[in-house]
Amino acid sequence: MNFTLNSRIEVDPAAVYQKVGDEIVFLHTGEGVYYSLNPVGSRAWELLLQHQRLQPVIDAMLDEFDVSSDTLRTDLLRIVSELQEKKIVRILPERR
Amino acid sequence: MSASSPSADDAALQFTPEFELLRRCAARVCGQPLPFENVAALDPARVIRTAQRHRLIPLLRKFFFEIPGSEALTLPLESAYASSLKASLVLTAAMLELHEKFAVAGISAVPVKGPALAAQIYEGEFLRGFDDIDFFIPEASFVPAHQVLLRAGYVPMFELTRGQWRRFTRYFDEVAYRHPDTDAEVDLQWRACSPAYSFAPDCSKWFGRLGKITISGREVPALHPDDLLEFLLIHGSKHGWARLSWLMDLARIIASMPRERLSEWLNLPGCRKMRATAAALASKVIGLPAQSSSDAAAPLVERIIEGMQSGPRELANYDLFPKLMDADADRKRYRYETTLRPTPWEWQLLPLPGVLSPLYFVLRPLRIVAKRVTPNPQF
Repeated sequence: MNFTLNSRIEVDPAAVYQKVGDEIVFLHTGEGVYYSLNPVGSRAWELLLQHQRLQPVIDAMLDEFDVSSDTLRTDLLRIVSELQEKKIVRILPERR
Repeated sequence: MSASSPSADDAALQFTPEFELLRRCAARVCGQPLPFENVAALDPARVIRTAQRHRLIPLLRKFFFEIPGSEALTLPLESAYASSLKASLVLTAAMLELHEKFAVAGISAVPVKGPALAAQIYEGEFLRGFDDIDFFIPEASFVPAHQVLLRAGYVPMFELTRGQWRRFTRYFDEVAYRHPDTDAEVDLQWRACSPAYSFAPDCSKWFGRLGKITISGREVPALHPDDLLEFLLIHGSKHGWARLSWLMDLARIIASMPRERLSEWLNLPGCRKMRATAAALASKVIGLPAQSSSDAAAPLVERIIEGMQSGPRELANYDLFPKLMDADADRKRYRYETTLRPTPWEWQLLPLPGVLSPLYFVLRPLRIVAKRVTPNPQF
């Protein structure tokens, strides 16, 4: 499913994750797939859990990291796309 | 009560090089920065084995990069760490799934130990491994909880009749289940210890003041911190503190307690010797400030430290439990429960009608004797 910066993103019920130092490691129990995020990705994950949408994550991370808006947007869209592909997150219809 | 630096006689304590390394890692997470510089030359295989036995592979990996000369550990540690992490994720998923099933059945099942401890004590960080899932349930919920586990495909360690299960929950505190497909183990526990002990906490009250923790983004109930401390104290004492991870859990909590609160805790009635011993161990092994109340426990502490390092047979430490009790009556009760009181093994071995059940009190000691004299007893 395609998504935008305002799509609602939630953790798949079959996915579990664990904080490991600065990183986060995921397991999708149905697929038996493991996946991990580096420290920056892990920070994005924490913010994503809090906001459930990408736009506020981008806003918060632009304050925290020395990075351009375009680069950050591209990287976060790629991470969420990978998380979706691994079935770790689900994209819900956008709120109108 | 007073607190001071570890005393001079600590120098007499003997730690193996690999245990020394682990205890220094444990000290770090309890706010006691013992240096790694003096860690002697290490045998990587022994380090990994010891860390696995104490369920501390993740802790070791956390500090690995700070340990001088630890390069030889890289490959075996990474491999052991990957296994430990995968096992923990699989068990966390199974725990969350079961918790949901218990909730649907209206059972207040509280995850304890394992991922719950990581959330409650280590701010969610993966610092110690675990190999089973533990739920604390009200005693009255045993039957429905047992049925939930059966429906989920778990097999109990005993096959008992309905009446025997009733008797079992009255006299015992926990039972283990295993899933034949996944090998996942689940422990159901409804008391911290036998209610006949004078120090036994009234665990039914624990359900009246549960908190909440988040595991993998999902909220689950958690024991109140004071009840968790009591639970960990009795659990560690029962098992002779054979694993450093058990001591680290408790030390991490008491290290965060204000001095007055710790003093109050050490002087609470019941479990005084257990508390003094645990505090002494936390001081001598993990480097927490020594408490004067620990002196009473000194003779036992050395033996426990020896047991922590000696090998995988935790059972050898079980005899320590009565020595950690304050009252003679409790020690007698322990002797009775471990030598005379019939267990499900006897019930299964020789099913007897109720009227003949006193015969189990003869069968039990006979079975214990047979186990001691026969290398591979058939019963």
